[in-house]
Amino acid sequence: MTQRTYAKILTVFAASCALVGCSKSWPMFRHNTARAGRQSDRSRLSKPSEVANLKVVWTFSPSGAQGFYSSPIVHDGRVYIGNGNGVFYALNEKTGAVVWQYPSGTPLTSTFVCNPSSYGIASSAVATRVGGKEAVIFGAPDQASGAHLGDGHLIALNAETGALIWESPAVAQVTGSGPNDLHEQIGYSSPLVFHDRVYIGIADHCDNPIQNGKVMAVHLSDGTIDSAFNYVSTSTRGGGIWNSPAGHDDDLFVTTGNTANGNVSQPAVNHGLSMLRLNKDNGSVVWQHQPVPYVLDDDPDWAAGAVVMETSCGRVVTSQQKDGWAWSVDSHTGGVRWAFPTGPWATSGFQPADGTVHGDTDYKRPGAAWGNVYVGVVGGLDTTTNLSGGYTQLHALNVCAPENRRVRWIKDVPATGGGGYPLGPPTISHGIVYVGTNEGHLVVIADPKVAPPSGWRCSDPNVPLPTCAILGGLGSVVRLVPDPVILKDIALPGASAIFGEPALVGDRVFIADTGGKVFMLDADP
Amino acid sequence: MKHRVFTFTYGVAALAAGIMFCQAGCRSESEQDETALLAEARPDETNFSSSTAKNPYKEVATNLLARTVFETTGPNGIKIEIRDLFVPPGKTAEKVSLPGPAILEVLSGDGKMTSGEKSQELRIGMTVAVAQEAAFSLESRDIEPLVLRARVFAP
Repeated sequence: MTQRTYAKILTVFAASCALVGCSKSWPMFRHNTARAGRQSDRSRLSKPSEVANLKVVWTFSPSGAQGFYSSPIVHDGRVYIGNGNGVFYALNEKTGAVVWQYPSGTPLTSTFVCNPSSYGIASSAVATRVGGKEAVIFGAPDQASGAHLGDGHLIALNAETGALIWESPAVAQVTGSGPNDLHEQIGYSSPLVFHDRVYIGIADHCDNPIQNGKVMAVHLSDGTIDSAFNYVSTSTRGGGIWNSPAGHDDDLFVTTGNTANGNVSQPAVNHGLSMLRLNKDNGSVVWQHQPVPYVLDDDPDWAAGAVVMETSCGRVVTSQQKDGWAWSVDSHTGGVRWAFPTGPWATSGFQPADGTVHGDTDYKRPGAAWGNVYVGVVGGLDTTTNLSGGYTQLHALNVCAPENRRVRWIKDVPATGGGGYPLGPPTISHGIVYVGTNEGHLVVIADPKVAPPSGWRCSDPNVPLPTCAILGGLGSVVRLVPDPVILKDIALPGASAIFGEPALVGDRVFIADTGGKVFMLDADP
Repeated sequence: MKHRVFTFTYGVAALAAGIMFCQAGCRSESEQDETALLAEARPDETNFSSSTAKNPYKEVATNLLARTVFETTGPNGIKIEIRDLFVPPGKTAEKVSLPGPAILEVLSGDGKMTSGEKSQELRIGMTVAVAQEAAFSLESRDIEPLVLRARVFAP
């Protein structure tokens, strides 16, 4: 075998490892293309006895920093992250020193700035290879094109040097502020590198009126738009993609935002407020799960993206809408496995007379998948009576269990009194959950499988414990569940609210805050 | 030709072995096995956590829990109260009455309401009117609790 053949095999081997998540890295938002938010490598971060050693080693804050609304990725010794100031940074993983930054000139910002998704770079990057070179790809506004207002582009940089490899044509267009102008944006969507394409979700700046949601695909090799792929959410406007597409095998999954805002009647084609499986080659809809009908659409965007889970009961896609309900769906057929909390909607969707509320509430963060368990910020059993009760909690849900064993545990996360959205997206490594809070804390929680819980509580937080214990014995969904132990609650020095996810790499945690700081913590004493 | 076939076969075998090695290194134990269901609480469990609800239910009658969600004084001194009523799954609550006429909305579960000779099936989303001081009982027929939100207008 020639050296060239060996090199090819090694390349394919490395790519295969990246796909299964076998690497000392966190190469993309939620770690892998399934958006599981899980680190499968064992390290000190997956050992309860070692987590107590976590301490901050370095902090990075760029000059002119705005908030970090994207999350750090870590690959091959470097941390990559974009800031609200429109600059993308590569940092030394061990020291936090800047290796390079991009661009050197005019920052990548938009003229439309009405919420955090609009400031600079809110799109988390993905590490990949382009033309045989290590590369990082992210989405960003760039006022150099079109009407010079900040069209959204995908940008591929050489991971070692920061040199531009390609910048895609505009995938999100901004033509003006009038009601008939386009004001599309990439926002929080993080690119998905999948089968030689790069997919990105398109939502809008500032609503008013909302734009037609899209998934755009460009060729990985050169960033040109793949015209064979075409997905738009509606025949008019609505269904913005506020999250990051997920991919698994040949399937592409996204969730979509609301449709009613800006339409006088339901569009003939309405893929808004849905979980979707798309054909990766042409963008056609393979199945659609739309539990909230147009008549009940009071803006419960499906902002948390799809999480693809390989479980003992098959492959499912799990997520929750802004209204607090979580859904698990068969990935092949789109059939509903369960809704949480359950009710008649699990089989027939929500109905106008069922009294449920579907508005602009704050269940927006993607959950984490660990085997048969989904960990996320969801509404809980009392969603119908106490809609905001779940904002400061993490629920672990048994995906394959019967209804009355759905709740695995519930944790009230501390340091969540700072207003706004209390919790960022959780990440997990072998049962140890990491989550950032709006008071700038990193909180580490142990599933009872790996460390004894602090006690028992009720799956419906409002039911007195003695009553709950009796009901549980009768097989009710209202029953005692563990209250997992907190292994560590770290106030990150000078930190503001945390919006993004903790990246777990080896013994280290990387996390950024909305005050413009990136922190590296190490559990190696 | 024979050499090329051998090389190809060798290469594929090496690749497969590499991927298997890689995956084995990732997952020494199946994550599905790691996430088997946790043990249930013992029937006599007393190790309760310190977590507390902001507005928990209280038992007001046999198999009936209640809590006040909101109250205010309306026109002509009418006391307006929003009260949640909770019947445990599969249970029938003792008869109660409310301090004024009320409108009840079913928020969760399904079951039956009985007042005097009349009974009314309850399903999620339904609303039912109750006369002042009329005694009624509630029955849950679901694995979900029957939860009603009562808007009470007490003179």
